[in-house]
Amino acid sequence: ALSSASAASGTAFYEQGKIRISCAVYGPRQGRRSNARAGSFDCDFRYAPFACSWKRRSHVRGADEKEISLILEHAVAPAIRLEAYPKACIDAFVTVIESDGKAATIAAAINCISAALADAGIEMYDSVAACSMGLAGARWVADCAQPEEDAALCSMLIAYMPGADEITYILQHGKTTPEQTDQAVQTCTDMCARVYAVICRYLQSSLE
Amino acid sequence: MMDIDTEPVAADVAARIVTPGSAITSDPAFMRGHGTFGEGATIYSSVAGVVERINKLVSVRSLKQRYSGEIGDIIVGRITEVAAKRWRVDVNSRQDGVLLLSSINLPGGIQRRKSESDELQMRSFFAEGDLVFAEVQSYFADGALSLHTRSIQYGKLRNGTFVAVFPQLVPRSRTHFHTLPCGVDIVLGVNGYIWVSKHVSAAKVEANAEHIYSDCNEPISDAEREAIARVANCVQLLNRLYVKITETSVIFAYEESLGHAAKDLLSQDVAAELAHSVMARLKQQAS
Repeated sequence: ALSSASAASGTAFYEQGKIRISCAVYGPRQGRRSNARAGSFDCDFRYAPFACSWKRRSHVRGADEKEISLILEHAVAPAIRLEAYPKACIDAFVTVIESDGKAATIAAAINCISAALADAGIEMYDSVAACSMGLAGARWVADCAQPEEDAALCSMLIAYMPGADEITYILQHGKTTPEQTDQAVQTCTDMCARVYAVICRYLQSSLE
Repeated sequence: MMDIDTEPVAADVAARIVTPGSAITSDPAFMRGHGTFGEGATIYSSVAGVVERINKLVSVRSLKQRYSGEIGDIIVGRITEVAAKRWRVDVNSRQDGVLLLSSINLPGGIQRRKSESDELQMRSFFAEGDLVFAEVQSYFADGALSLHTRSIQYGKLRNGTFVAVFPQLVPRSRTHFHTLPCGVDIVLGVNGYIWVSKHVSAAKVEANAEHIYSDCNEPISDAEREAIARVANCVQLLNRLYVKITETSVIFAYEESLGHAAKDLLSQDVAAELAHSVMARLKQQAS
């Protein structure tokens, strides 16, 4: 969604099932470390206090929000052409308006940041698409809701660049056998390719 | 696009909409421009935008682009930091611009030499938060813009209000400082920063050579404040509806807006109506 009244360089709003996330990207602008060869990418992730329907969160940023901020930085930064922006910094501010399933929310946040970066005209090698899966018994279930995720034996999140055919981030909670891991990676990358197609279609239609 | 080029691959390269990571062409004849990167023999797009081809140069232009300064650009900037013998200026670009102490006019009218005491009282010239009207002189090695205010029309901005617009809506032209018929001065910075202020005649500015760095505004009457607010709102609504911001379009917008109160100009329907009538008048004037 394009907003000309916003002060941000690029914005995006992403909806996936019950998950709703908005992201604002500021930059490239003057960075804090003035002797840097390449630009820096910083991400600030927070839940709105009303985002999780099962409990009310404090407006103070918690430790899990700080951890997710780092996860998002590691997942998205490899896709940005930071060497084209020396001494500059790019800031992404992600706000979760409604959440459902922690791994699915992180995957949705990665997709939202990709769309916002493309909206801001920031140079990237490729858009990053992400998706999450939970192991229920012997089957992998995509985009688990919170109760499904609590019941799952293992949860896996993969961030993937389909154009470059490279995985940028894998996050796994729980145990799997090697075959199950292979299966998960295969299914996740296929789903990421489909999410990527949706993001690209949206970007192209917003340019027309 | 030149019609002399008759390569068969040219047709599928230009005017395509691409997303980051899409391959544009593998033809080694093409050179990479802005918004692209190369891997092996293939040119890929690095932004979401439209492919443009000029002879052998392929580039991708995105909707939103950060202002990147060129030498000779007239801009408005805000001082963010006072450092040793220089000021760092926010110019709406990837990096802050630099205004060197040796690039400003020292008060006193006549050209006098920079002294050590000038270096120690830099905040008496420009302090953090001040707005400066300057021209881009050159680049530093890392790409930061070097600014100068070595002319009587440049310097500290006073007596008005600030509006930020998209940089691509301000075209480069011969002059960027205009006096509108309604008695308001406007500075159209090419970087998208615009200053709307009370009209002060050039003779008065020259007579005040001692006070070019003063922070005191002149007394501004209610009618002048209303005119300034009206022009500022006109610039805002031209920005929201993607109309190019020039002296002519601002004058047209001001004239069309006189039927409404100044504070109502930014509501959606009034803004859309005014922007359409401005675009109609501009088209009529061009034909």
